[in-house]
Amino acid sequence: MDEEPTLPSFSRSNPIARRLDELAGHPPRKRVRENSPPPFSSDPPLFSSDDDPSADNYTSKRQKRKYRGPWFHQQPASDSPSDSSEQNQQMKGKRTLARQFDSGVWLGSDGTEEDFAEGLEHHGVPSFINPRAPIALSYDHVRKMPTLQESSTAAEDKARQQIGECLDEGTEDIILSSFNLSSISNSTISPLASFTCQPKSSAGVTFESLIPDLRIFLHSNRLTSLPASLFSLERLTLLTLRDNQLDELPPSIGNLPNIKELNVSQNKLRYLPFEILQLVSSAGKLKNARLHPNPFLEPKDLHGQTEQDIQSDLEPVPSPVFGSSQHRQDIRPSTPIHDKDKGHHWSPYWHVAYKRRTQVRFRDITGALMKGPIFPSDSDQDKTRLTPSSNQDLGGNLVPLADENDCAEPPAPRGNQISRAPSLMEVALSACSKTPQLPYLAEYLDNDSPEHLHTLLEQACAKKDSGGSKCTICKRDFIIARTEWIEFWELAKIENRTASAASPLRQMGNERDLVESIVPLIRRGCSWLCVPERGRAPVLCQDQ
Amino acid sequence: MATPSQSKYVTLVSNDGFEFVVLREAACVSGVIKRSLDPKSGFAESAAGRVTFDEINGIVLEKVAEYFNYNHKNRNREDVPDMEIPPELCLELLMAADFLDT
Ligand SMILES: [Zn+2]
Repeated sequence: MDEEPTLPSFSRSNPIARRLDELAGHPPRKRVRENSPPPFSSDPPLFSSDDDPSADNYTSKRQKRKYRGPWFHQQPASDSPSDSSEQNQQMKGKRTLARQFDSGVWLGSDGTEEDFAEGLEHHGVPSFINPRAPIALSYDHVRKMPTLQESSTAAEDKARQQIGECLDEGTEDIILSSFNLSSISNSTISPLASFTCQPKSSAGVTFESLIPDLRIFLHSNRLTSLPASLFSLERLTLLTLRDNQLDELPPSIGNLPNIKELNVSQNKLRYLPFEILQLVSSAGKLKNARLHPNPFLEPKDLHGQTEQDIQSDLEPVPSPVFGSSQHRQDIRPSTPIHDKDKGHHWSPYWHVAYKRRTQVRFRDITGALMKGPIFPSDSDQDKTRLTPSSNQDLGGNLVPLADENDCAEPPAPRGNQISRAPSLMEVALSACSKTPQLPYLAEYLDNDSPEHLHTLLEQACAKKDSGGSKCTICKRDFIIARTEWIEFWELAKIENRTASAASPLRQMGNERDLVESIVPLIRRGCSWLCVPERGRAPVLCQDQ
Repeated sequence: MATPSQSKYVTLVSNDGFEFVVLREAACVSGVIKRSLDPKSGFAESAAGRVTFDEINGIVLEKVAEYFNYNHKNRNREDVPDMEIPPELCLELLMAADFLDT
């Protein structure tokens, strides 16, 4: 231990650090579109050997055939000295090859490939990295990565143009319906954040009219995911996503403080994010929501009841904690609990009540299912992984409800014990997610590296694009959910409020409305200890 | 979990010869390390309390050791602070995490 390892310096005077600072404010896709150099050209410090002269030995060999596995043999397999001309040869070969591809990702700059290759030559890449990765590996993965949708389709160009016109003319209705959009990127939506109304010439204009009420119509497209920038539009008051291909809404949908109308019908939604309850909290402005039809999960009691039976059987129990304070409301005013809930925290327009939940599903550090009930939406791989004896696929949209006294028991831990501390995998993935180079990191993995690492980086990418996620128990940011469960909540619009003002009871609708007012909300946790508390509202660790 | 014959500490050795001494209990969060230190496994490591990683260099292993301490220190905490990772280490640490199953 005489020689201290030379750690890469990362001071603010470091040009790389400055570059990273520059990049931090701008999403990578934007730079690509603006024809400025992609992050590669400035040699981001992605590896411990970067800037580290003592690490030369890691990079002495670059030929993939000398190594087995992604990174297991960082030392050269033979003693033959590194041949720099050979390396250059490889680089040239790579550039030549790179030009044969037209991934669209590099279109922004003609010099991109050369810049990147030169960057590699200057800095050296750890030998476990496949030196051919940028072309040999990247193409498939780049195509799969949702963040790289800046190689935008004609449909999105059209949408961009439409948004530009709305911005120019101060049109608050952004109509992007039937645009044949299969994806929409953050950079397309984000200009709307600076939307301002055109001052009207007529007299009697009030100040208020200058605050825009944005209405975005995205119905009848083919969207499978939504960009985070959509959910950071503070002035968004209407959003219709009807008739798309969405199978999940991002938790960031809860961040829309002024949304009044929301339509997510005719998608592929199995459940809604728990965070959607923020829209019907006392701070929320939601007045109308169209959630059905969607193939939502439906409760099936473990004892073989159907969902109709459950409707009458769903006993009001204390609601789980939502947000930083307890919110409870109950159907029956006679229930003693209700007395404590005077001045409840829900919107006056909505009846909101927790009903029942499924058992908790536990996932390992890579996100693979370890324990818990099967959901119809699970992949076949997940279904076979779960023990077939205790878990059966109920078919249809049915999921079994947990016993009311269910206590979430985690599986046996890999190490010694279970804690709330994130796994090293999560810590590293979250660090990956913070770099502007996230969309390109998978390209640095060797061909032989485990497939799930590619998958995890793609998931991190998708999660970053859609605005991230926080543990619904302890509020920690997470990328890989370690626990998840479905809670069934009653979410019903209160009609004719004045008519029933004397009674806190909402007016009962017809039976269909009643069933449809039960919605499945997914809650996810960041650790195996982030689970619902037995029979009672879970306590937020922040409150302690 | 340490039996009287075992040291409370173990030594992690990187492929470039750097050594990091960490609490045995803390390092055992890694299933891989736990198995190789298990006396029943019969690995030479278990007797010497020393594990060499041909796959991990000193810079990365230092962060791994730091993680073990971080994880151990916060094992009973409700509000666990974040652990900072320099961006240039993130990908190698991801691969190390996968290898160590941690
Ligand atoms: Zn948590």
